[in-house]
Amino acid sequence: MKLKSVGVNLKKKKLRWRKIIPVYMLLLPGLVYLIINNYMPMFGIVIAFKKLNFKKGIFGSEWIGLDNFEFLFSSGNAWIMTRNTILYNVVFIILGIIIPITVAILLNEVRQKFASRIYQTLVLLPYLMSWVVISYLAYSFLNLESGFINKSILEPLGFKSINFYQDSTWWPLILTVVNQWKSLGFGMIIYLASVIGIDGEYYEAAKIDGASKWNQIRFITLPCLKPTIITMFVLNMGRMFYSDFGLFYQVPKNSGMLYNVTMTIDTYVYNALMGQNNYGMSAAASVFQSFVGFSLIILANGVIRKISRENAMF
Amino acid sequence: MKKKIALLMIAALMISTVFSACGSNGDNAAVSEQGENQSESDTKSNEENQNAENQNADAAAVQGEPEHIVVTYMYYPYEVADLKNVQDKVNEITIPEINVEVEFMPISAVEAQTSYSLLISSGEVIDLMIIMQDIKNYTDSGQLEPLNDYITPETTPAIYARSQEFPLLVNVQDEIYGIRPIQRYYGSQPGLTLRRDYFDEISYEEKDIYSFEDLTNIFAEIKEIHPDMYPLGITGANAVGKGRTSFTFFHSIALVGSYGALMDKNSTQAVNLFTTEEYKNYLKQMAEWYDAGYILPDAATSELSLDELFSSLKSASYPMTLNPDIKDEHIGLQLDEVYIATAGITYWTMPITTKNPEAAVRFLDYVYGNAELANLIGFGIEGEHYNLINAGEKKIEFTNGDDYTTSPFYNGLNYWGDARESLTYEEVRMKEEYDSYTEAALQNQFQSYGFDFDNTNVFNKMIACQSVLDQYQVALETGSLGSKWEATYDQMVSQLETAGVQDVIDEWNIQFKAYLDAQ
Repeated sequence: MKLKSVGVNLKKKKLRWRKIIPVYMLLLPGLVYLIINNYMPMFGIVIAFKKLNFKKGIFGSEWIGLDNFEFLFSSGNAWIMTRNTILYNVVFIILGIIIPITVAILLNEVRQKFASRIYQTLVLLPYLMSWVVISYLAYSFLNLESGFINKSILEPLGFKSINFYQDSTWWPLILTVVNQWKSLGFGMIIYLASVIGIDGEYYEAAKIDGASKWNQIRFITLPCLKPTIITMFVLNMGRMFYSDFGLFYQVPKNSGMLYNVTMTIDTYVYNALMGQNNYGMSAAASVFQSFVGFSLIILANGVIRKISRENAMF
Repeated sequence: MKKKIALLMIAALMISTVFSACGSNGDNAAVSEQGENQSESDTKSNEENQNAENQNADAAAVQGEPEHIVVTYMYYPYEVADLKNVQDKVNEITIPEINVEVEFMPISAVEAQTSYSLLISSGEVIDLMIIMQDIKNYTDSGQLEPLNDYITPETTPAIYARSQEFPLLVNVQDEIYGIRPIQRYYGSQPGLTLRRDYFDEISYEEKDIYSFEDLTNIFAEIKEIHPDMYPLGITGANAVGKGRTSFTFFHSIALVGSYGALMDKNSTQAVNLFTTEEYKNYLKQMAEWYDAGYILPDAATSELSLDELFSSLKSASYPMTLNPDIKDEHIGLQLDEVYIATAGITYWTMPITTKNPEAAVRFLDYVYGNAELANLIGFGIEGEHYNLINAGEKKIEFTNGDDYTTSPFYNGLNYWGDARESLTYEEVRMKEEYDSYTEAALQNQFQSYGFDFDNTNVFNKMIACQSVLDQYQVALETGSLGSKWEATYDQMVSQLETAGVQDVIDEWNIQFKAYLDAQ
């Protein structure tokens, strides 16, 4: 009896195996790429702790511990750049949840499919533009001589022109607005995909019960979006120490006087190490960012586990 | 079943596309193996070493296959189309004479800075590499070969002889890593380049040295006639930042790092440039000019090039180190004497991926000693790429009515051998002007001429100081803060102090004193 049942089980497993192999083979190229591109280079983290000497190779080079990390902290800028990076990311994460969801819900309400497609494309368009192009668009708004804000708004109303690129007071606002304008489209698409997937029956049932539009959003749409929001949140937490280089370098045109509010870890490393071929220090900077980002993901996921177990990523 | 086969085939196809990215990396991937290859070519070239003493050596005495070397050919501004033909012509000379076969590797001057490191680290064979940046970037990570063994009076007579005249050999911690080419002229002169027609318009008197007052008067007069123009076209991009200070366009000093300076040619102690009286006065002057409308309002962030400033009629002048190469339609307003403080950062180096170091040095020495070959590589084939107008003055012109934008062989950079013997295109000056300029400069030598600084001990402080400068320097030196510059200036000075600028200057002074004592 036992043998028979074992035989039956084995047969079942074989059948499943045959069906699964082709699917796994489809996975194989992507997996190989991931291993080669993302996992194999991980051994290169040691470069951040060594004084790289090409004659001796990576493993023969001298081990200097945390010396390469020193330059990140030795200037008075360490505090400023960390503060800027984190604060901007906090604001971007919060706005990056509120605004795209709002737009996605609004877009979902549009009845005409044609109009809805057009709006979707228009909102997504800035996301596809390069930061260099956007920096020139910003320049056309902000520059002193012929900028739109100075020439067509401030001066006709009698105010004095503002030299935006030398005056750091406006830039937190400017960078936030520009960043939201650009990244809105991408977040909106993700949330729109989830919103569309919500079963229409919920809404019908709610309407019958007499719920207003706002109540419907509050009690149906948002809870259904919860998993997506949490996933996006945890992913963004991992990038807490990264900043969008194009945003913070190109848009302010790397103007020194604005560094107090535009310097982030990425722009600082770029400026400091540009043209120096110092692989050790550049590696140290990105190891620092990755390490902190990883810790934050684990932390954020741990917190979410406590709050609502099924939504945690792992 | 059919579906399964189709699935398997698609999967196989996709897997194969992954492998299409594997190119052939012909030479060694592991750079650390180079040591073994070197000893191989050493033993082979030892027997040729004895024959290569005299440059006019009998070709019959040299034995063996021609040694193949790869030499970088840096071009600017456009790619040199006819390089292959010139390369063949070069080999027609070098193979019989010194038994070396040359292969040129074209590389754009703009990309070289980032490309070189990548090429070396991926094991690409390069025997001679011309670089135009700080050599420490490469020696720090062990990417260059020391040349001490190869530079001797017997093996490299041409280089050795000339290195007695000029500081050609670049040392890093007692090992020679670079060989500078001989320049057509030496020295520099602080000044502004002004368009001659504007100068004639206001009929200002020509002087030997102009003062700040003269400049103010000139700018004022130009501004009166052309109210929409900003007479001084200084911008952050063309004059300030990344190790430069526009102060050097107005005064002769020797820069240490980008914040220390020897203020005159006899001084042996570097001081913090930014705390000197001269620098403060200079900032004050720039702020005044900015407020008076002589400087572009967005000078700090403008990306207009020097040509664009002139052609768009936005500016009448820009800061430019004056030298004999100035064009006829411009006039140089000299602001201080001709001087020389550093020996330049263009050098020939040998990467560690070299296969034939002995042959490479032999070739280099041959180019230094043979003006004909140097001109062939730098200017092309006579009759095909240029016509000789005046043999005595070595003036040439492009063939077929080309100019430098259309000629199939034009290189704006001249770093081959001894540039004093090189040909010149029409717009350029006569040899006597260059020589007298060099003479004037060498008479005004700063003590730092020939000294190379080793920055390993203060590297982090230098980065910290530079980041302070990145923040304030451009705005201050273009006068963009107007009359409110002083507060920012004080901030910059105090932040530099916290960043450790005095330690960097002290370290420099210690090394400099040792260098002077050894002279």
